[in-house]
Amino acid sequence: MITRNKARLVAKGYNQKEGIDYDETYAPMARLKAVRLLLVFSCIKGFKLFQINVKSAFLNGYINEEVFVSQPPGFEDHQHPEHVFKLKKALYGLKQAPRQWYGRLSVFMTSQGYDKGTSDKTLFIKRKEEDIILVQVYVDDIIFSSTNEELCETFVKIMKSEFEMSMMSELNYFLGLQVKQLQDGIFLSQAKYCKDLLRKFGMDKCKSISTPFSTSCHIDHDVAGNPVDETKYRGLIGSLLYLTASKPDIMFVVCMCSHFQSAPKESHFNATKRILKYLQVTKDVGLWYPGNISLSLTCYSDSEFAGCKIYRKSTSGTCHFLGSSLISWQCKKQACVALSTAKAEYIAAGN
Amino acid sequence: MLCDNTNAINLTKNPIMHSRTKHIKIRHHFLREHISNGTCEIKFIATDLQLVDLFTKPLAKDRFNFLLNELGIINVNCLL
Repeated sequence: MITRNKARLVAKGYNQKEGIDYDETYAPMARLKAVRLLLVFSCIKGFKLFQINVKSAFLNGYINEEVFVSQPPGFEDHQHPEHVFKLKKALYGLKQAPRQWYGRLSVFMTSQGYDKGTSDKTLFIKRKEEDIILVQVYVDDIIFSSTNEELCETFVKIMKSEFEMSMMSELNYFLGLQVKQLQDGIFLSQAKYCKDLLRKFGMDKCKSISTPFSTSCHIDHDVAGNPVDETKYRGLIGSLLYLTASKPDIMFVVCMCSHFQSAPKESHFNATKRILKYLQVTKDVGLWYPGNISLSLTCYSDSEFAGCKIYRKSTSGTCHFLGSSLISWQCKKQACVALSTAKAEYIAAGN
Repeated sequence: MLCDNTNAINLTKNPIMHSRTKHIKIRHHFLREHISNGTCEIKFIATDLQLVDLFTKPLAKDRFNFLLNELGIINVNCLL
């Protein structure tokens, strides 16, 4: 069902030349880990989370370079068909648009008394006597929570005075993550994304299986195997990697399968199909973050010695808990070959 | 930080030189520095309570489900 149609004027950014009409393009982005950390922190402290969206965010950025765009087709000026427009503000499609939007937002937030996080530049914090407000920005999506709801309301008010904003609502759907705020904790899942993924790859009616990988067979390069469509395989791996944002259970096997993206064979594709079969039963599985627990950081670190059968490299694994909530995890094939288990463990711990 | 290899833990505490440890230089000093500053503490954890197993090796069904439970990965229906 279509609820709304949107049209947007987009500049052809691919014609831009570095040094002439753009310079720096880097813009800081919030990592999903940071988002989860904010969820857990708010949950432990008992704050309520809200979300708000900036409408057409990139159009707010000012640009420093001289950029000209031709008249959009269908809207030409008949008296001056040869004229071009000079841009004062950024347009969607320009290479510097994300950076300029972040610059504008961060200048505005700093002028309003918000401090930028020391390591995470997309987290803005403001303290007022005993109260505190935390604002996490993901390009144009903003989530925030505070000890005092009044602070949230003033934040929304000042944002609305400067930018065009959507309505503020309780946090429930953010970047494909479904967030359930309950009395005693927060539940994070990607059921909708998972369902769409299964439908997209024609696996929505497949059989189910209880673990995402088999313990008996090892995947290798399989040089003699039947090649499969690379684009489809890479697309599938990309979607599965996004699913790991709330499903650490498939992390290991997705990392394993992603090693073979350059020349995927049928055996690799079958391994990814098994993940989809596992997802069929675990669509509604997600992370549970209980409230009212202590704020202590615990990290587990381990390695599987020579886990990679092809190069004899070891696999590092680490995961971090804040209280008893899992906030970040990592699965990584080590860069060098470890000669002893102690060294493999040491590399994992030092990562 | 919890680790299940006593050898690796001892290395972080005691800078003994050994023919097999001479290649672990930079990481060795990185971790040791954190531990001597007190920003990080390393403890031993039994192998069957090592929760990271989920991210390092393929597991059988029972162990897999045990770890999911320990990590707080549950079905939404369990909340009701």
